[in-house]
Amino acid sequence: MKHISLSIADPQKRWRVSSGPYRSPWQSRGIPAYLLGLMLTGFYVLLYWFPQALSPLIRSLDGLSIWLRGRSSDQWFLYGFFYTVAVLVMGIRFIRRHHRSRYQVIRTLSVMFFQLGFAFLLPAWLLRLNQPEFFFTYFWPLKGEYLFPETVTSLRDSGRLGFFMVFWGVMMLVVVTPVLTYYFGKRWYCSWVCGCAGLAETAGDPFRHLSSKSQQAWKVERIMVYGVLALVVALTAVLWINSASGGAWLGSFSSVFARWYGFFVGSVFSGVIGTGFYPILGNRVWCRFGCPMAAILGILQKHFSRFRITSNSGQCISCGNCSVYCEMGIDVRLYAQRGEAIRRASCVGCGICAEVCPRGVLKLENAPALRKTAAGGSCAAGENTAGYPG
Amino acid sequence: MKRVVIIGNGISGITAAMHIRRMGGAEVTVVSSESPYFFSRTALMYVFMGHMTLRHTEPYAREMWDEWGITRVQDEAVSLDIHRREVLLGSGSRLSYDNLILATGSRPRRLDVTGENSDGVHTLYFRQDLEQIEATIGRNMKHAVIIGGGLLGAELAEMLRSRGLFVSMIVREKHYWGNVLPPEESKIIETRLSRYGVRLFLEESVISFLEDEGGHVSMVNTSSGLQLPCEMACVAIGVIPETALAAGTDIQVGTGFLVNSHFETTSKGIYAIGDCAERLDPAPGRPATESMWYTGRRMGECVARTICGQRISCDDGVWFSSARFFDLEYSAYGKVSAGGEHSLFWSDDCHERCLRIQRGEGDVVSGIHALGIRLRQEVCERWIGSRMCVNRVVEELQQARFDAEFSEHVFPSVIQSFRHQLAR
Repeated sequence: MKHISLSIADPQKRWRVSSGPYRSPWQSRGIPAYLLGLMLTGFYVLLYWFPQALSPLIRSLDGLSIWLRGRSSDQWFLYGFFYTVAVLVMGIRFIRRHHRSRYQVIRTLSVMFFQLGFAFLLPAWLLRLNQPEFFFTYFWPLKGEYLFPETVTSLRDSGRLGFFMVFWGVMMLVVVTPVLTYYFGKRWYCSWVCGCAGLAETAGDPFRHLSSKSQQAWKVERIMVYGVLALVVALTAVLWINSASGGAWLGSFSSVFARWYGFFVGSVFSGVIGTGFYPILGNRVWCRFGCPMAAILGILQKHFSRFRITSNSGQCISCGNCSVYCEMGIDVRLYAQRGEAIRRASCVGCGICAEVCPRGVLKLENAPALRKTAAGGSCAAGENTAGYPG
Repeated sequence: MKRVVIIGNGISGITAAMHIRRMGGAEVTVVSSESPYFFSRTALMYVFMGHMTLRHTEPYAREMWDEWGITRVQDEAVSLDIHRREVLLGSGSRLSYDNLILATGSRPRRLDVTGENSDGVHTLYFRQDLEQIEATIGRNMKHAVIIGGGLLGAELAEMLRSRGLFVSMIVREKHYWGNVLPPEESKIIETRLSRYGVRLFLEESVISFLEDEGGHVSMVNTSSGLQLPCEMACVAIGVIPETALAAGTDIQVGTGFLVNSHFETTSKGIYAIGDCAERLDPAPGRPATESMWYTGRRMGECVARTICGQRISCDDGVWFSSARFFDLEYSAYGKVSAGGEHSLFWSDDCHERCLRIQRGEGDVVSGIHALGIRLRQEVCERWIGSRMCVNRVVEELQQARFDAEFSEHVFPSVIQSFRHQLAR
């Protein structure tokens, strides 16, 4: 009898099968996850309100800051540096994990490029040239102050480049955004360009499955994201009215409003909660519940876009991988098992649902019109794959 | 209102329940002992691998069942009293019905060899099986042997490889999944399995399991005299219909509950769907029993119509199937012969993907196989359903492309190769 010993270590390098996040306490709301969350939120609290506590760290970057920006480091340079390093390092991790999907590789290289080039190096270089520090990849309303009277006036007065910056911001919002969103959906921005997305898709990727998929969360999402949009629109209007009237109409109201908006939305929501709570609430809390830019892009995507995720008729086996790994909390399976195309305002087009699907059911598409589902008789697939009663 | 009782809350039973409620036809009660809520059995492997939790395998929010008016009973259906139209439950209570749908599913087939009942010899079917496999793995073991080379075997291999175990597979056929796949496709799967560190033993069958002093499995013996030491074995050689409820009734049973094209059993008012049903008049080229998610779902839709008064024969449509072997996706539409003869075939140089178009009578397309390439189901269905000429399928092949954006364009070289083959 042949006796086969199986313990010989095989010399050939094996492909690894990775086990999922629910086997790691870091990624499944275990104690380490809470500690990490505490650390991150703690960092944001120090950064925003007690930067002097970070001064050893800030000072340690003086050399780099002087070389890049021609001036010594400050808390925001420290933040930008950490942010960019996180995007690059975790971006490489993401690419290694998803190297077989070219969509994922290219998309991740894109957010890494925009973070390093447009959100870190270019603004630093502008400062070095004594130009206003400007982020060409952020627009109103995400960066609300770019259309506030104070910023617009100071940019306009700073010279031709400043004037171009104002023009750039308006063009991006009014012309480029609707056109690109029409052709590609909101993903051109929300998972290819934006820096918040850059961090969420790279450093936040290990936590993407933690987003809540409940109907309740969806309700809260709609109220909050459009609420923040309404707030920033109102704030911008109030500031311009106040500025036009030379402060006569509204007195100090508008500046108090701006300060509160900055505190609650800018600092607490997008920073402390948005990023600090990655290990608890998932990586897209800000993008999903708070970002006013995402709100506008979402409306465009839902009603004026060719983008959608197509479900491959009846091939869904309801396993739920798509829903679990949707960072925006969309219950993708609900659509997939009915063979329905997915058009949701919140979808950022990251493409992970299509990638984790074990049965090739989902595909991100920019096609002009919905294909008609072929009817193949009384029990045809498509219209009546296990759907809702009633 | 008519009372419908459904035994089994798998995809067949639940699809039937949902469609009956949607048509507003009857009161619906679903009985299951395994789980109080419908869950996706196909997702159990992902729970084991830590990709999701058990709760994620439930496709619908729990509160929806009450909203949809589907009553759930977690209990075992012990026997049927067809004269009084009642189901006897394990708890001793009775459920009366006007129509009964048997969607009892199947159970794992056994090898029937010595040592099969040793500790550490598992199957994977029920939710509870996961716990048992988990308990065995907790014993700090290293070697596992999987018996059976089908879809479940590959899934088990992936599960166990994710925990770093050494995995060997014993497959009866000459090549992997040889009763379904032509040798070229098998070759690609075999390559993928071995890349992931699975040792394949083809043309082997198990003759016995040896156990250690503690009654735990320690060795698998095969027909050719191989002895594979292991601390765990998983038997994945298919399923057999669960028909125990037929006892003491006039429901006729072959391998499954025998049903006509309306899924009516031989007992009036009693239907059977899914894995447990055996069709008396299967569609040409289709087996009488089919344990597949898609088939069960379609049967559920059809039986719901029958019960709600639309007694039309179930159109089986163009058959399709899908599977995954580690990260290698497989999909099939229509009929492809397991020998691979009379077909167009393309595969890439590194054995990672292939595409096959079966040429039927009159040179129309009769089936399509894809490995590592995603195809648009609706397009393949249309081609096969309308009996499109193979020449035209080749020319229009791009329409079926469903691979992700930016993925490698294999279609130009596929089409070129197919044109060459057609010209010959």
